[in-house]
Amino acid sequence: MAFREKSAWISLLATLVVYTVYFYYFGRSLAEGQAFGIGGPIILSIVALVVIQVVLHIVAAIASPSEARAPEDERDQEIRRRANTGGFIMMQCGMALVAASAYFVDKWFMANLAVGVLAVAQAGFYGAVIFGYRRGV
Amino acid sequence: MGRPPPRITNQIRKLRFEHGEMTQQALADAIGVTRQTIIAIEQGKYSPTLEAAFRIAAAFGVPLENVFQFTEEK
Repeated sequence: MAFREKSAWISLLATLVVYTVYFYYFGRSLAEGQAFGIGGPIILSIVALVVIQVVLHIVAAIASPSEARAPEDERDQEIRRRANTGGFIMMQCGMALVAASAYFVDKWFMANLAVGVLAVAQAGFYGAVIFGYRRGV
Repeated sequence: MGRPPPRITNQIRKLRFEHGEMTQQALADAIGVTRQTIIAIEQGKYSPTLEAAFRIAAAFGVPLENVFQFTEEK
């Protein structure tokens, strides 16, 4: 597997794990009727996401150092460009939903909805990158 | 439903064989892409840019049409 595909897998799995944990606690606090502040949990999640990704990327780079150092070529760029487009469309649609939610939910729920949209768009982007490497462009 | 056959086919595998079993890495280095990209081109999973296509042809010292063929859709 190419280093950049491995990188996309690492990022996808890290995104899924971190945000699944985040929204598990968000759902639990909702069920218990407690407030779920966005500041602390989201900062913690972003830090966890960065740490997990950096550590796993270092491990992957040690396993194939020459590939890790190689610059992106035209195929890598094309795959990333297409994935960016898909991720951006997902984010636009999601953010329209967040904007519409202002009429129905409080600001904390809305903020968490925005976090959810960002997480889904990010996962979609990495998924599209993997799809591009697997299926071809 | 499977993936449709590629409309742009190529002879890279054959040309590598004819050029002393040139490795995919050697060809990749010659045209400035990764080995995975050469694999993807050989398998018809990626159609290179015109510039890369010319570079590949130049690496083998043959005209472009000896490397890539375009199949009209029927």
